[in-house]
Amino acid sequence: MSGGSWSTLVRSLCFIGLISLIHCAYSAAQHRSYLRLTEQEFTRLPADILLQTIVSLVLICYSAAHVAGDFLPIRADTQVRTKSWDTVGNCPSFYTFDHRAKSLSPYFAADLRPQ
Amino acid sequence: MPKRSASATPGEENKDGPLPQYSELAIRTNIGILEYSRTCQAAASGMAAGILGLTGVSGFLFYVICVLVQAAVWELKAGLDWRTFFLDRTLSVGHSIVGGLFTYILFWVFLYGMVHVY
Repeated sequence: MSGGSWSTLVRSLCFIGLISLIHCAYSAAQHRSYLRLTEQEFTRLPADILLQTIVSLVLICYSAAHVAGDFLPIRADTQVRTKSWDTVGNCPSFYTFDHRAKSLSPYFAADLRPQ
Repeated sequence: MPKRSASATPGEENKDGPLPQYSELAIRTNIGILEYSRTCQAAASGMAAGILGLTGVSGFLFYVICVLVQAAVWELKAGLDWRTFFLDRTLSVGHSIVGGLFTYILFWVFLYGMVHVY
């Protein structure tokens, strides 16, 4: 799975779940005030609000677990066995670089002039 | 960059062979992921319980169900191979279960008040 598009997908799923849950809260409050106005008893919410609440809850739980990032394997010794020394011993900060063009510098010839 | 190990001298032997070495960074990252998603799950399930108008024992039962659902989500995320990512097998159900309960109760009471009382 490509990193960037997966993480935006999962973030937007989490956001959609949250918006959906807030919408359920608003619908339930509306339903309650309707019942109060028509002087009916409150026993349970209508089935569609119930279903939407459960679905958005599961969506939030699933996407929040994936938004936080991937699990990393904890065994350091078994991981390293499959990698070559070139991969593990690579340290870009310690690269050295040498070049002949330093001989074009005006200060270079001064060090080589025979005594 | 090679990972730092948490155990003693590398290559140390015991009767079962060399001691396993664990990456501290990986352990910390994984526990952090559990903590983050536990808080999100507790908040969302508290909101759902408040919206549904649950009271008393049924509310706590709903929390237990959501903890089990979250355990299933984590097991799926780990590819059903929990031991590769965690030292403790019981973490998928038991991680931060009481802390999550407090967050759950907070959101439950708040949303119940918002939806059913006001």
